[in-house]
Amino acid sequence: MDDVQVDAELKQRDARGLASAWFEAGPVDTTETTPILVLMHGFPDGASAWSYQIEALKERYTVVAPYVRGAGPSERTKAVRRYSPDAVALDTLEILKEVDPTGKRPVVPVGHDLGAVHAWHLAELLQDRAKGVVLINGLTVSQMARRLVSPAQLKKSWYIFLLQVPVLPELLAKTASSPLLRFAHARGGLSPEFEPEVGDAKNVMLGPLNQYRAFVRDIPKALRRSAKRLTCPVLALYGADDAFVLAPRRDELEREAENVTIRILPGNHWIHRQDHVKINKLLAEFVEGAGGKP
Amino acid sequence: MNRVMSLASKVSSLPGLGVISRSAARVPRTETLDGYLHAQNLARQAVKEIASLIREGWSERQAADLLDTYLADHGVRSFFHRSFVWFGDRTRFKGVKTYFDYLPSKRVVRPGEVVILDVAPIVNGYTCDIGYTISLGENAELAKAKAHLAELRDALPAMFEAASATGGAVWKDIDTRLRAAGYDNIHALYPFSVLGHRVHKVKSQAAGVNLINFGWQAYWEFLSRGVFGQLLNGDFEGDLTGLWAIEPHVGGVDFGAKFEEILVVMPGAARWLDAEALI
Repeated sequence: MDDVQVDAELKQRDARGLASAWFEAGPVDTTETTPILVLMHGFPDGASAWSYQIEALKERYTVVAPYVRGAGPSERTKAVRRYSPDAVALDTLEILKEVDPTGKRPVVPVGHDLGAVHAWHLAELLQDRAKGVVLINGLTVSQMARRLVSPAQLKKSWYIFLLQVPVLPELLAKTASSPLLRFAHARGGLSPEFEPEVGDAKNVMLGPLNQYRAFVRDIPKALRRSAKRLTCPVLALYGADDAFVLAPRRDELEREAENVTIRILPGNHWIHRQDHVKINKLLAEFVEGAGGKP
Repeated sequence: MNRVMSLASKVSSLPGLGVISRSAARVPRTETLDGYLHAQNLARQAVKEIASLIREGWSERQAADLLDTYLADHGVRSFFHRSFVWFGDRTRFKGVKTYFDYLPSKRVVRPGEVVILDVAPIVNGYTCDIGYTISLGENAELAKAKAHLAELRDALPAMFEAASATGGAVWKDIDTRLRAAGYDNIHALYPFSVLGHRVHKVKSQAAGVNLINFGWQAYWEFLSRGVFGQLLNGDFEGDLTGLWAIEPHVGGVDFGAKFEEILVVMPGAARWLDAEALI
């Protein structure tokens, strides 16, 4: 990962038998009340997708951007279950133990794309320790599950079904990872100058493929178990010109959270890259307590 | 019915039928006991880890799913039974009317409430069964109940060692002690009112069918060995030699508390597989 330029320390530890890696940056002097922003990337991305946020927010907050299971230096495994939202959440909690051994500092999970699933899952585990959740052009598992009956969403999400097929996605990722990554970025409207540095495209195309298989397998479980609705503020940011995800709806999110704010913005699927100045400002405001209903 | 169950518990000694479950009534070699200990240690690690994560707002199902996930992530492919998690007054089975009500529910945990985690993974073929009780914050009544459970744990090996020991007598002794301490007998509310059940090394760890939280190995091991010789309840009169998952479960006013772990019973002697308690 030498050619991935992010102004943060790349750390690694064993998380329940598999190596997990993350970027970490923040002020030197932190207290028990200094928030930890946990930035969960999507697919096909790595933790470097958060480079703008890390740079902008590290002066005031501890910023942690894990490489989700299979991406970058986070160890791959054939066991699909290790890519499930539950498993990723447990791995992320192991990282948090390293970042904050006291276990007391407030956490704000932020997720983009499939990372929104992981951010939400983490918030559900953290409950009152999560001071807010931010979803950027991403959905929770329950939202996605309920949208399976929406032709408009299914039309955008065709690739999820392709990724359930065994072997073929891996073959494509091994032989054509760079063109596929360029295709995904182009389809998502991301201009080349805002593309994150990922090093070898296989780092973000091949390793994390099983996330989609695990996520689909998890849908029945997510629907049959419901934790208490989150009471912390939820901010859903959405670049309106998104080729992959329909806009979030209040009724969807209010099934799972009491305090929801949705901001539909001009922008594309990678709005946190393409329009990072605005997104960083909104994130900082949210973390400072400016969240709430519009 | 009780007479039938008493007779059936002695299946290993009945003429012609001993072959069904005789293999259960023996103590495995040391190396084999190490396999059970390894399995139990993993299960202990799992319940302690998940218990440490539980926060107000978690549902029983959420905790149970995470416990199963933790074990699966550590190589467990099959379960004697998957995780049961109970919160609050469900820890004494309040509101439980059918077997399905025992299953982890959407019930959410509140501060101060008691939590029971109970899971039985199969690790390298070795079955274990662990029960662990905590509270979400301080709970003085639970602390007292756990102290009583610790006393029962200390007393149990001697009960099995007694020359006159029968499973039924042990069950009744435990029942008398916990009632004298002011508790209700909650393991009497388990299917077949079991205080414990045998554990075995299984031949196949294939995941297979999971029916109402129990894996196919559980059904096979019990049914193939004559069922009632496997279940320790008030009617048990069979040979006690072998490995048992013992699970006394006491009930306070609005909560229950239990522990569960493996007891090794030999002719005239008994000891916990792990001398260190997880209570």
